[in-house]
Amino acid sequence: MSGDSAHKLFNLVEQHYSLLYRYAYRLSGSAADAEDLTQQTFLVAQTKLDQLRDDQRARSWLCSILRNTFLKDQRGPTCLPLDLYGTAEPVDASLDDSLLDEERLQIALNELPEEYRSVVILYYFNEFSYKEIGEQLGVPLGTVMSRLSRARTCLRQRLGVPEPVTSTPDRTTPS
Amino acid sequence: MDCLTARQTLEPFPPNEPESAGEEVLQAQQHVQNCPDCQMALQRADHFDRQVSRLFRNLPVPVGLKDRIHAQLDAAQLAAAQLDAAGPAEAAPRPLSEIETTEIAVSEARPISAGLATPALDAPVLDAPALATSAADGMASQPPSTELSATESPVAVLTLSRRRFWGRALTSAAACIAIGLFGWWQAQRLQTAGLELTSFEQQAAETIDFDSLPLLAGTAENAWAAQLPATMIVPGEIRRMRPRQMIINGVPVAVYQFSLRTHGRTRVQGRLVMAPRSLFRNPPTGGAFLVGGVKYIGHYSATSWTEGDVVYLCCLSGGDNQLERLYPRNGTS
Repeated sequence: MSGDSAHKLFNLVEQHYSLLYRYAYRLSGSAADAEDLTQQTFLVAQTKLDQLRDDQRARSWLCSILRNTFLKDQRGPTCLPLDLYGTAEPVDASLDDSLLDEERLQIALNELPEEYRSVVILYYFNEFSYKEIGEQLGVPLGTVMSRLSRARTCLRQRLGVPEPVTSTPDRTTPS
Repeated sequence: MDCLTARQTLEPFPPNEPESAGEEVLQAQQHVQNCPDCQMALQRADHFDRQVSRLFRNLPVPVGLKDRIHAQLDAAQLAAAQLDAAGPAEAAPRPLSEIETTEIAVSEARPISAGLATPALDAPVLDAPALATSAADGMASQPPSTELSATESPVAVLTLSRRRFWGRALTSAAACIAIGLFGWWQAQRLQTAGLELTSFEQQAAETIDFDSLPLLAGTAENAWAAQLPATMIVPGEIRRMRPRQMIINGVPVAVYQFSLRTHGRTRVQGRLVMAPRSLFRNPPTGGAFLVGGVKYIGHYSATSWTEGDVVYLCCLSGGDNQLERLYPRNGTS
């Protein structure tokens, strides 16, 4: 590896390792797996560094590698298929969303199918536009929005947060 | 616009998204501005989103993770350089565990920054002009393919690829030897034990692709022609034909394919196969054409017999009456 490439890789680690770890943790639901995934991602990036032609997109590129690595490592579905169109039973509808905690959130995330989980994780990082998320996942913008909408709805249901769409839809204002 | 429509419209378009600029979205936003219920519902949703986002972004990262990543990358780079510099003798497979432990230990004592200036590390290099070109082109539009399995580091991949090569080479060699030995053993066994007549009949009657067989010529052709059967009509048409050679169990066998008119009647098409008697474990007991009876093999009727040191098989596509036409009426051919 040339000096430039090594330097580039060094900078990628410095800038993005924490984001990748958090992404990996949310995808896998395990700290150990997340660390492995993060390291694996950089190792893959090291071998494919010539594919990264635009440094501005390094973050998306690394996230794509991480997700692909994660998917490749999957031996089968890691979560039960969840009916995102049906009515998921809330954990406890009386819980106030201010009590949202790490563990409950991760449990709810783990129950999402991977394609929904990835979208919602990337969205909540507040680091990617819909377009970037779509490019990472290889899906159109509309798919990103529909998956995100369903995933957020499902998360809220699982965490007992009232739905903004279905609650009190009883008022009409002139447009 | 009612509350439900407004909330549904705004749901997939968070305020910070540039995609949220349609007319309908503007109407929904206008509705929300005048609707306390919607404001509250969306505030609640926004609060939830911010909470989740905060939890996502504030997840603690393990202490030392960055150093471990650097160390692993350094180790992989060093190992790749060593493997590249090493000849085939050193490229022999090594246990993965050995690579992981020893080489990571080396790299931990040697930060990546130190490695950058080391000429040895420049050995496995990416092509610099290609890198410059690719950097100028912008990132590939396709997401990077991750060919490596999650359990394989680049070090391991290099080692595993060599290991796979040697493993496959050895496996292939072993398989070839095993197949050769088995074939030789079978040939020996068959030569010793002899071929079953039924197997010969099956092969001769059903599996011969006559046109694909090599023509016999010269002494071999003459030798077989001299042994054409005496108890079956062998008109001049057959004698003028050139036999083809077929190998059964390593033994050459002559095959004639004929189409002839017998006793002035309709044309009979068939095949005459001649094989040395020594090929068989149980040569036909019949000493003349049709004496041993007729067998039906697939679409063929066949009869086999022995004359001297040669076993003959005559088969036709049709019934035994077709075969009988080849029987010499006056006892001669």
